[in-house]
This record gives sequence, C-alpha cells and structure tokens, in this order.
Amino acid sequence: MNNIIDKLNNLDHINLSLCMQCISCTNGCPFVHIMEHPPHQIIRFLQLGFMDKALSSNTPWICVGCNTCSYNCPMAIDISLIFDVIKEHVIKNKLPIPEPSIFEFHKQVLNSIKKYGRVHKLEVMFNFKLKSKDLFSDITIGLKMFLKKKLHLRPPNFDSIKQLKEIFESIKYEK
Amino acid sequence: MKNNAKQILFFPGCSLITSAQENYKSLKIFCNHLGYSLRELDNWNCCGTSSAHSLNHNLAIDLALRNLSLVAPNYNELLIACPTCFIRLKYAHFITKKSTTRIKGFEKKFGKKFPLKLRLTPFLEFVRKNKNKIKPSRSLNGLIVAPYYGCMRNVPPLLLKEVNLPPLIESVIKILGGETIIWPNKSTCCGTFLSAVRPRQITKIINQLVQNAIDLKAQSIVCACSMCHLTLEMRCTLEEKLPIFHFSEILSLVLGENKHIDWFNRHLINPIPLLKQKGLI
Repeated sequence: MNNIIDKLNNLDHINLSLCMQCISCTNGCPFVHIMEHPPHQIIRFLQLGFMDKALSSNTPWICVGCNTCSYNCPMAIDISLIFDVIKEHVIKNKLPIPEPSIFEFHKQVLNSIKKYGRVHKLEVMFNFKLKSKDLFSDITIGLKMFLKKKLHLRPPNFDSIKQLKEIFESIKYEK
Repeated sequence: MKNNAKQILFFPGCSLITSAQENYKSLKIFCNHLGYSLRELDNWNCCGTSSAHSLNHNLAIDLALRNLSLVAPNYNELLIACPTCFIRLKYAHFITKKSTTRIKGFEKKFGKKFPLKLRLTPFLEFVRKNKNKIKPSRSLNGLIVAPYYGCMRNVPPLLLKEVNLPPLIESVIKILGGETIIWPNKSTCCGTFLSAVRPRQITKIINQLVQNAIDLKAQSIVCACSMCHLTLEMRCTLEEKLPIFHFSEILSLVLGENKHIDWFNRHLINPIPLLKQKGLI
C-alpha cells in the first residue's frame, strides 16, 4: 500500500512535508461540504501514513480539479494532482471506489472519446443516466437542450479513430 | 472580413462544436472583425477534460499531446477557446518540453517533431493583446455585468509562472460602455461534472451565486468558459434568473454584428428581453 508515497515522491514537484496544515486549501474549496474529509486532512493522512483513510475517502473523487486549493496554498502544493494519483492508485489496485457514480461518469466520457475522438454529450448523459437507473431526473432540461440543439443525436465527425485507439492501448487503459 | 486577414490556428474543443455553438460563432465573428480568420485544427480530439486526468494521468497527457502533434510546423501559435482545454494542452506541452525523455517519447509515438516553440494562447490573452483593435460601433448602454471566471484563473502550481490570465472582462466591459459589479463569486468553480453527477448540490451553489449577483444589482453574468455558461443556465432554478452571456457574444455584439439572433435563440435563459430593454438589439 505504501507505494502511493513512492508514486507521489516520483513526481518531482510534489513534497508532502511542505504542508503545514494552514487550511487555506480547505477554506477555498467550493465542494468541501460534500466531501467526507476536507482536503488538508487527506494531505495529513498521507503525511502520517494513514493510507487506508486517504484511499477510502470520497474527497479525491468529489474534487473536480478546479485548482482553487493549490492556488490558495502558500506552499503551492499541487493538491488536485495528488488526488488524481490517489484515484489512479485506487483503480489500479482494484480497491473499493468511494464514489461509484463519479467513476462511472468519467468512464462514460473516456469511452466516448475512445469511440468518437470527441465527447458525444447526449450519449454520455444517456448511458450515465441508464447506469445510475435515473433516466428521468433531468429529462425536462435535457429535452430543452435537445430542442435548442445543444445536444445532438449524431456523433461528432472525426477521422483518426485508429490512432486514438492506439493511444488508449499504449497506456493500457482498461474500462 | 478584411482580405488580408491573418490566419490563426484554432482549437475549439468539444463544447464549442456542440452545446456552445453560439460561443464558436460569435468568437469567429469577433476575430474576423479584428482582422484574423480562424483555421480549425484538422481532426483534433477531445483534450480529455476532467475525466482523463481523474482516471489516468498518462492518458490525459497523450490525448493532449496528440493535438499538439497535429500542428503543422509553419504555425507558431494555437488559439484555444475553452479554459479547460487550454490548461490540459498547456500542461502537457509544459511537462513534455521540460524532459528530453518525454520529447523522445512524443517523437516516437507521433512520428513528428515536438513543437517546442509553439505558443498556446487562451482566448482572454488573445483579447488582451488585441484590446486596442476593438472599435465598438454600439455601446452597452450601462448594462450591469457580473464578470464570471469560474476556475480558469486558478492555474495549477507547475504553470504559475507560465500562465497569467488577466481579469479582463471588467476592463473591457467598461470600455464598451457597461458596468461591472464586485462580487464574491467571480472565481467560484461551477462544478463541471458534478453538475451531472450531483445536480442537487450544484443547483444550490449556482442559485446562491446567481442570487448574490442579483442582490448586487447585476443584470447579467458574462462568462469566459462555455462549460460555466452551460452549468449556470442549466442549474439555476430561481424564479428570477439572470441572462448568461459568453464573453465572445458581448464582444461581437458591440462590434455591430447583426447575426446575433442565431446565438441568443440557443440560450436556455432568454436574454432577448434584456437586450431589447437596453437597446442593444
């Protein structure tokens, strides 16, 4: 389990010991109220070696990578990158995913990129809603968007699917 | 468009060709007015958005790098409309530039030379450079605007010295005869994918944000990101809503563009009554 620290240490601009728990990150985070732990606490878990706590928290999954935390951080710690490393570690080691619906959404987006080269928004939303067994919650706004031609039935035009598939294969991305 | 228009290479991103076509159309017209013609990068792919870097760091880098590999050597600049696309491409370019191993990997993978000197220009930077060329033919007539940047000005630590996105909406709106408010939410993230996954929570945040703008007497919100634009329009459930504009729409409108009905009809919150009331259309 410790190799997540190795992974973080390998990123040459990440130094966890720079964090002095000043809470600037947490104070700036717009989504802290739906996180299990505020961002500074995840950094503290990593500093103290409470890996299971850091890896099972929903915090890195709720994070959208808006970088408000690292922009506020006086030590310029790349917090959203640390959260990305945590998520990747959880996926690769097949640990329980704290936010399955968020994971599902990201997978749908990546599937769409793999299939069409670009994001087919209507299909992503439809598949995501289907998987979450929640087809109707956004139906009114979805219909309005469709009528306003903000969502399209036709997939985007793109000619290099083969090259894109090779990219997905070369980095060993699995569904 | 002027005949001797300077061609500029352009990366639109997925939103501009789908949900935010009005952003693309108005941006194109704005550039034409300034004497540039946009040439879309052939066969570009999605930058990977939040989803790629959330699940796989290397995939996010490669998706961005493929786009850079498409830039022909005779171009030294790529204009990028969407702030997320810009950060993804800039990040990939920066970390590759700094490592000879990565450059070699790029050349092996894509069979092309790495565009070391390519300048990636976000739309706000482009507007700043061309600010003096904006010759408005109509005034905003005192339209009160809440400038909204979302998360675009919070660049990741690695790029702090590389990117400085100017808080430009305020000064440009002022030049164009409008007013801006000072409000607490100009850099509050809109929530991006949480809008799809946690709609209820995002609705709360967006309603609060719009309410703050209304309380401070704003008549509209102007965004520089098409993702923010969509989230603000989609997730606001207040009875009194504010029209939300793309920055490019405002810019093209004051330059005297009359095809604006194509854009404004696409909005989920109808901005036409406000624009009529202000004598802008």
